[in-house]
Amino acid sequence: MQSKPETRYKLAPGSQVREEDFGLLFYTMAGPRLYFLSCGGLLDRYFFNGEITLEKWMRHNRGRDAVSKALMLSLINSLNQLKEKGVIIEC
Amino acid sequence: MSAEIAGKGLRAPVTVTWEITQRCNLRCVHCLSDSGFALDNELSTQECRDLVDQWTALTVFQVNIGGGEPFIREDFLDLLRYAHENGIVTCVSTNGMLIDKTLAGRLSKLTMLYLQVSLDGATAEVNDMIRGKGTYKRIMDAMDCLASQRVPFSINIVLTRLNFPQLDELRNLAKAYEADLRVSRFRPSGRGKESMSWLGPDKEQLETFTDWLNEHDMVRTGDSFFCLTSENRRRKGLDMCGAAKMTCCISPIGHVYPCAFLQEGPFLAGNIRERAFKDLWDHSSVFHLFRNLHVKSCLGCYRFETCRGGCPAMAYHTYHDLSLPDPECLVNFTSEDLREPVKYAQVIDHV
Repeated sequence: MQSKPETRYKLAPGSQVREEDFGLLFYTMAGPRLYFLSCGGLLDRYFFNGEITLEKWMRHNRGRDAVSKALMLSLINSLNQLKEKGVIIEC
Repeated sequence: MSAEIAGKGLRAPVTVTWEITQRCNLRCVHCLSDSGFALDNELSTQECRDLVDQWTALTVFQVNIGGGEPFIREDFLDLLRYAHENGIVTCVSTNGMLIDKTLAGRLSKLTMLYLQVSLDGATAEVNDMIRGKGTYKRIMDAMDCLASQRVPFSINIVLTRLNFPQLDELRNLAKAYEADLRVSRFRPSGRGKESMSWLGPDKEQLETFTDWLNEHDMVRTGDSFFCLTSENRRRKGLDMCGAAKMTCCISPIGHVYPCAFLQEGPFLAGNIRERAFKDLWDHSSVFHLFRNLHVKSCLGCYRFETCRGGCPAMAYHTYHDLSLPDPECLVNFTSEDLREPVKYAQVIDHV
């Protein structure tokens, strides 16, 4: 199921994340495997506490006008891929 | 993409290889670290915990622990638990000699642990020639204990001239234990320097091994065969040397190196007793060298973007020159055999 801007996420059991210059680096014990999310500073690890939606996060951090539809779609797509790979889960 | 990102170096390692003691109850002829007796000034329990604290602060995801035999350290289980409590996954490489039902029972409670049991042959004849007389049976006993306590583990073999013909048997053995088979690369460091000439796989075996790997998707290799593996397999993971970019090695006395196979003077980044780990990771000149290492002779190769010249440790131990390509690279195989008679203990100029 495709993620939406109002979806909240948290790390799946066995997953970890940290900030890097390019964005976020995910590690999951299953494998183990690494996943690189090139998102610059748009998201950080606290986004994955499961307490805030992507829409609110972006509004809070960037201001509503600064977030283009294309950027939101790109982020949603990336988060969806991470979800499909079992790195994050919706909550 | 990921190789490109990782090639620039990360804020902290993804994994750290930690040789937690030099002490070992075996004397395997290919041992990369020439293990045997403990060093005089190995890190104390508190120093080990401090190191774990530093890695925790940096969000190092995984620590791969070997030695020596890690379970020889009396504080080892406590250190494992401490790492896990701090969110660090551990992968322990053991020779199995100390694993009995009691220890297996304790290990069964550690959910953030990967365990690798070393075995170097599908028969006692082959294994014991490498790991020592009587070890085959003891390793089997250890694996039986782990299986009975439902401790997941993998069987780790170092590919040698002797066990190459037994790869299928080893795969079947792993399957019987519901374990992964992990094949590591023989590198001429430690006691491997002396045994490489008679124990290292020959060129024909390595070429055949490439095909074998391609046929056996589930066999793991870590990153050690990235110069040999086929394009299909290469796409399954990050295939490049991660030394100083994604990983590094800590010796039993706190020396920091880019890689476990390069624990020699020219590659010493510093010691964690003198400098913070993060400081060494960020500012060591040795690490900067590795992050900017270019194997110029490989630049025109169609495989360069994925292997980037291969394993610098192999190049160093073979030619004493980090700027030369991995001597066991498939492309080199098809042109000429670059391997020269091995001369060791030279210091390379530009480090």
